[in-house]
Amino acid sequence: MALRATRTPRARRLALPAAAVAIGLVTVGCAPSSSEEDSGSSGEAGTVISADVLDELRAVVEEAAAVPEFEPQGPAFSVAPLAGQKILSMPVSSQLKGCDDMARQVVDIAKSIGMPDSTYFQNDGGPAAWVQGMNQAINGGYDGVALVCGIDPASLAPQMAAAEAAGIEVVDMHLADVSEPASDLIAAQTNGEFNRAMEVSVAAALVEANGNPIDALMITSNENPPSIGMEQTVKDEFARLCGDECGVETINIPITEYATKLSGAVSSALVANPDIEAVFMAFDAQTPFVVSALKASRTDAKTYAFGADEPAIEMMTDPSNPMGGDMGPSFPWMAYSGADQLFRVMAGEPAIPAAEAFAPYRMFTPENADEATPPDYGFGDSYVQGYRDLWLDAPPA
Amino acid sequence: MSTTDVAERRGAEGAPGESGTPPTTKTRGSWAEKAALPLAWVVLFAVFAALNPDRFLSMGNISNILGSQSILFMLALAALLPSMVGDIDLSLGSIGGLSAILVAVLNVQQGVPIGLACLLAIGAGALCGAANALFVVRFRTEPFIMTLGTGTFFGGLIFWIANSTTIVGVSGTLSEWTYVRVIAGIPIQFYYCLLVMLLIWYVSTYTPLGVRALFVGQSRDVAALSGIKSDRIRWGAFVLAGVIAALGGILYVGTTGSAGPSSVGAFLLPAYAAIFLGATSIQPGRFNALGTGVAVLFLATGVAGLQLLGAQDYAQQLFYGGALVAAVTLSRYLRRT
Repeated sequence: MALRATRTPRARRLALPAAAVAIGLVTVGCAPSSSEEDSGSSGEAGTVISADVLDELRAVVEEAAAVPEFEPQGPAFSVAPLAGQKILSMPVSSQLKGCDDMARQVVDIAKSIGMPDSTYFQNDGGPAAWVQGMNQAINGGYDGVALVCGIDPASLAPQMAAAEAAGIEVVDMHLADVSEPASDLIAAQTNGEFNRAMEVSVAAALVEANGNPIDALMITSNENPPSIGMEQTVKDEFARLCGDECGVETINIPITEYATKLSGAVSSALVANPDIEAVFMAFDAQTPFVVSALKASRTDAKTYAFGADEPAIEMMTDPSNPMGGDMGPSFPWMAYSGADQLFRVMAGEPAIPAAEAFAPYRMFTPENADEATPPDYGFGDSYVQGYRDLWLDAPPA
Repeated sequence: MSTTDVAERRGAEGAPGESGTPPTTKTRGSWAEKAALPLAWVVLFAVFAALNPDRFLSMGNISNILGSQSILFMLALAALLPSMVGDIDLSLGSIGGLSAILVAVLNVQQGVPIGLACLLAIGAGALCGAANALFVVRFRTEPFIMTLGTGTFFGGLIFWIANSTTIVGVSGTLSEWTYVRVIAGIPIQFYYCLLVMLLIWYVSTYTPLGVRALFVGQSRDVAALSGIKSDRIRWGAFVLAGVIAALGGILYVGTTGSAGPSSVGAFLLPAYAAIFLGATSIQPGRFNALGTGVAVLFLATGVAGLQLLGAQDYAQQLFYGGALVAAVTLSRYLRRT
């Protein structure tokens, strides 16, 4: 690019800075404030939650922090009809280790009950890859398909119709919150207690604040549907428990932009409202970025997340990280609950209703985070024998 | 500015690529163009300060503006070097990511002291840069395509080394020396970026090497005919870019205390946006270090200001993209007479 020094009219000289400011003002003007309708102020000191309610909240957290016990969600049934059949198991993305491990484990479980030709479908995520997986299942004569970690069946509607026509039973695993209606595109689904995780997290934050009103920040990634319900749950819980005394602000950061934007956005939110004492995260993959922002801002705020992923829980064991809680499922447990649902529909048994088909979550806090170690990562192993007892007539291991 | 400096700069401005351009005289118009982006930054700062004085002018926000974009800042400086000599390196995000994952794996899983892990990561960055130079310079291939390929290859290495997982638990010493420790309230990593920027600025502006690099960037063939060893300069640019990208990866690990397989790569396009925006000011029409620094801070100020006002993520993207398009278009318009 050549440099040409020429005298320009004043209007032109001022054009660039004027344009820059205009862009800033226009983007401000066209962007609704995320906090306008939600934020309150904790301004006043003093407890707003009674001692009885605080005790109840404490009990809620303690119950959620205990090791879950297996409870059958349906009657025992014979898996003998499944012998010789095969399933294809496909994770939402092979790059998500927990989901990838879960998809592989579903295959292992299927093989263990007499479906030796079952396979795992590796993919990099996204509808194009999922279509390939479904085509492989349809053309390969599979009898069942496990969609692992909430692949949206609506984004594969033609494939779902083709699978149904081919007599393939499709079960979506950890698809939506238990309060959501079941999808009619698939044979059955298992869900998660996403919203319950946020209810417990709000309780933990208020217990941490000893019942005093606090302001909170909720970080969502709205392209992933459960986070919308989680955000609403946080708002509803604060409104229920401390009315206008607590404020909830929200920022939405797409998953692909965690690395570039999340820390800065949290820092700005803390500058805008230094009274924020709890940061709720729809996914604990946000944890490293949020924790670094909290440390740099030198606030007393703590994080409360959904996920219970190993890396996040490991961070919680470091007392220098301001983390208050992280509630989520066990992928191996979800593999068993998902396999149970798939085996039921493949065996011609009625599916467990979507609202009741889920693997329990556990709340991890700094007090019990060190229990999240192999082999069961803090969830025990009661579910393994529990589910196997439900599968009658399975071949000996 | 010294006499020598002026002479060198005039020599640069009379580079072969600009034949036909009359000797430059500094006019108010040219100064306006050079100062446009810094001025826009100041005005933008003033507008946000007026809209939200208590919050925007707080030390916390200033620290956020200057410190939170250090990874982007460092990666932009890495992208600057190949661009200055007429190349492009699309693998820098992956090199930064590879560096980050190496630090995490070496320190957390192999027990290597954090200082040594960082040095090894920087060495890996240099090797990656050398590999790029080998393919692009030695084998005369198109840098856009070649670095797209090497970047994808390095990305595969990252997933392999990381086993597709996020590695946490990196020694807190690194965070202490990058993100936690502050000088005048601003994280120390901002000063690292400032140091690298000033080094690039000094070398490119005040040394014969900088002038030769400029000639190579303006017209490689004519530079070669003038006796300049352009291949050697291009090699150096790629290798140094790899080293600086590795530093960006290390800053990432220090900032988050962890490293994931898709971490630093996300900064690549914003980094190129910053250097293109920076090329519209200070030394308009050239990729330059000071312009890049101002551009990073301009974008960081805009984003932080919008965040403080509660704007959603898409509004920040509107600002980011709009600023780049407007700056490049108006810069070209200003010089069209």
